[in-house]
Amino acid sequence: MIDSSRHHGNHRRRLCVNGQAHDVDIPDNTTLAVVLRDMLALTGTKVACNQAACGACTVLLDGRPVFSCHLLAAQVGDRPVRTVEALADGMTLHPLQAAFIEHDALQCGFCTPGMLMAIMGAGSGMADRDDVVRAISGNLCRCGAYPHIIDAVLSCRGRAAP
Amino acid sequence: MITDPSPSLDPWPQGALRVVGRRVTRASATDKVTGRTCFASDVALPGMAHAVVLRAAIPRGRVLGVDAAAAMTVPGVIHIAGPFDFPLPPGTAYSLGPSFRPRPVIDAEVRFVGEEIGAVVAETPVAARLAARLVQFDYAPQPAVLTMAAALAPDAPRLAADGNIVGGGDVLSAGDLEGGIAASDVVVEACYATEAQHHNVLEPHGCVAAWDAGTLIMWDSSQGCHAIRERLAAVFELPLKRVRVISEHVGGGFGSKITLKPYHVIAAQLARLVGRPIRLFTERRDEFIASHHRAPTERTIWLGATSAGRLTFIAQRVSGQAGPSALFARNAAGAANGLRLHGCPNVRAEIRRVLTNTQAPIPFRGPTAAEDIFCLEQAIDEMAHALAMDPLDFHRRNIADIEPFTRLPYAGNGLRACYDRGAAAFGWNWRPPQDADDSVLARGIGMGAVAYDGTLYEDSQATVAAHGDGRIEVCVGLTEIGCGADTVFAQIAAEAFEVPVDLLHTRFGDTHATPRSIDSTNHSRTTTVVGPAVRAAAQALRALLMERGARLLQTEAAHVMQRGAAVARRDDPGVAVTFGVIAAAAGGVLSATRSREAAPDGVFQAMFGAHFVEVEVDRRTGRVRVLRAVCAHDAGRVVNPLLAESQVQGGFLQGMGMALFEERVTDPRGGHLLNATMWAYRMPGVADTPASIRFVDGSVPDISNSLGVKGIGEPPLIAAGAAIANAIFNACGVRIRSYPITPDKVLAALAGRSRA
Ligand code: FES
Ligand code: FES
Repeated sequence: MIDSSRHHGNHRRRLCVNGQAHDVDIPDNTTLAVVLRDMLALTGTKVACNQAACGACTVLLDGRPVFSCHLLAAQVGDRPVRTVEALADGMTLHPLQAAFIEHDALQCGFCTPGMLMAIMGAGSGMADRDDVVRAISGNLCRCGAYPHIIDAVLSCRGRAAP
Repeated sequence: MITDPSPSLDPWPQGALRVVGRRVTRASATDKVTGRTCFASDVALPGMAHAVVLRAAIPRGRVLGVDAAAAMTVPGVIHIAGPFDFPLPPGTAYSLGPSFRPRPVIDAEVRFVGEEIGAVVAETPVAARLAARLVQFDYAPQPAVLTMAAALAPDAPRLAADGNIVGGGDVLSAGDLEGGIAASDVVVEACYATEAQHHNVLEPHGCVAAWDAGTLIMWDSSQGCHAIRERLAAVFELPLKRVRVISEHVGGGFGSKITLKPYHVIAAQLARLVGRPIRLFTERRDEFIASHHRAPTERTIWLGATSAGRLTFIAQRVSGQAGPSALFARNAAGAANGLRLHGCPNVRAEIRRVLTNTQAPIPFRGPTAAEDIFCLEQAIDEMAHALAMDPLDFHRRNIADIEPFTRLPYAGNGLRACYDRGAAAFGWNWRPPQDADDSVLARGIGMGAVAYDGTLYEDSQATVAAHGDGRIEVCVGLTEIGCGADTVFAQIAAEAFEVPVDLLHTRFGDTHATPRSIDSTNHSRTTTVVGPAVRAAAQALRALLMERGARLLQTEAAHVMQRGAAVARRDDPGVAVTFGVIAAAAGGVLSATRSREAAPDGVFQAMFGAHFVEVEVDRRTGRVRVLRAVCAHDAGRVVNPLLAESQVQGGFLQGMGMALFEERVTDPRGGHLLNATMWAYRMPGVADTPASIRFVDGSVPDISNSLGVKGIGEPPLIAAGAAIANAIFNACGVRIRSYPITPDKVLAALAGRSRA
């Protein structure tokens, strides 16, 4: 079988995802989203537009939110990646996740992982509605869950340190 | 399988019940916030190959030849099929019904830019995309019609033998139009237009298809596993049991994922051809150009009223863009819901569904009704203004007693409650438009109402099962599209069962594990169709548990009672068996499947609502901001106010998108969509969200079914647009009759007024 990846040159890379090191053979043209979803089976991260326009693929890179659909895995280096799968501590949900459930901050749920990671990346200093709006202004929710997302985030002010 | 309806159950009492009517949190929310929910696009099978559809780059013509030589050199390419060598399935290629001439899923005939003309299969998605770009098509183009105006021009190319208006047109009418005109003191006439709207679901359309010993298994991002299964079985000429469709959760549908689409058939055929599972998910650009949309429409509306504010007639001439064939034309335009909204006895609408070389319209949340009511409710506001009357007052004077076309009474009409409770919650304090005021930021208020036809009866089955481990399972054959079907049916069963809702689990989304509860989740009807079946099954299982429990307790059913999730002796409640033990004794599972009850005779079901909004218009930039909204809805009994609030807020925001932002930019000669990206096609984002979108329950007792439920999915979108447009008029005295109301139109209208 011919491997299309050989075409672009494969490189063995070590990625640190959710506190665990993974050695993966990947072509240079592979995005972080593809590595997470297709190679590490971390399908919590969604790809909706693949156009760097909706934020569904947001993960934390060194604590900062990035669009994983438009970041090459080769650019990650040794910086830690954190995905939605690592938000809860075992069976204990992160307060932000609990607030999303309590306020019904989702409908279809496809934007939810990206929303959560964008909010996590904005840090704990969110004081008011405008801060929340800024944090997720790069994330689209076609179901229109924004009002409940805002309610959820504001409800955990002061207790949702990432 | 069509079954006889169950006998009607006793109606539930009014008011909040034990579990129904409570803010129960969404059952699937934990999986959704932890990333554990498996959407169809998350499915990966061993040996899976990846497919990309090849799409036409011209709006009309024929493919003459395909050159795939360069594409075949891409490492990892497995197969490339064009229109001349694609293996078509045995059954009707792609059709909703026998009266339509089907175009095969892949064909040399091209009728719009983006139509399916081939497919590539490769080892990886990247290789498939790379190869797809290298396939060359040779076309014989034909003259195309890209707009309704072009299609109606005298010398326009004919897209069907009988001309470019499907069936020559359509008329809806009731009452005596001439009499209504004669009785009117004031007549208002205006022309309106609405723009196409793209669903832009976050999870793209697509599926993973695999064949297992002659059975087709498909993980599909659809709104209804049973609908897709039935259509696939027809296309592949397979018995139903040889097709299994799994659509549990879907990342957004809004109407776009109801019907069988070409990709379903293409993926299944390619999987058979290459002997491997196929993953086929649409790229975002293709979502825009070929996953269908809400039709653009144009209409002229004439209204008449007496000086006392009673409507005497409504007449409309409507056109909607129908795409290349009659197949989806019914989604192009309609007027019935607008005409049934107000108590106007004399109504008439002439509807033209116009063939064009554009993708066809398919339902989008409130299909045809949103386009209709966005315009009609602006005309109503214009009439109130012509009469110098508060628009709320005008609305209140025109509440319908009966449905005009069937002349039946409504099973419940909460419109007055919506007006009263909505206005009170909003603090409606109307004053005429402030056109003399020249401040930079102009504020205004507006309102708009909605009526939407519901579903009184459809065949539906549900199963409720008690398991040996103590679980009670509600088993419904439907897909959960974000509306909360994973939660509300558990509430309904828990109510019927008198057990806490946490004891109930809901299973759905797999045709091999569920009865057929509904074909597809659409038309705001899932709760009203399936709810009574769930209640009937829960009651039947409860009776069965009592009977079996009594037997285990060595007494008769009359001598036992329910205690929590157990059956106890009446004379000695300490002697009891749990439901789990009863189920274990019955072999591990005890279940009851029931059909839903029959519909009441002689009534018409409709949902109603009224929105009240405040906007701010920036006179320098033309920008409109919606500051707040109150959305009063008569959805019948609200099973879960928390989830209903989500539906209302989401619907309002989509309506706001249609009213203010969402617009295609199309190359007028080639028919190519120029803004086929999530960033260039502007949709509401969090920064556009009003500070508050408040849901107000405007329901009144409704006799549609024994639960008293209707629906809430679509009306919040439908009512939003006109309320916003009317608030803009109220803010600055300009009327913008062409949606979306973008800043350039506002500035032009303000400039026109200051010149006048
Ligand atoms: S999927 Fe990455 S931004 Fe949309
Ligand atoms: S919940 Fe569906 S896109 Fe946000």
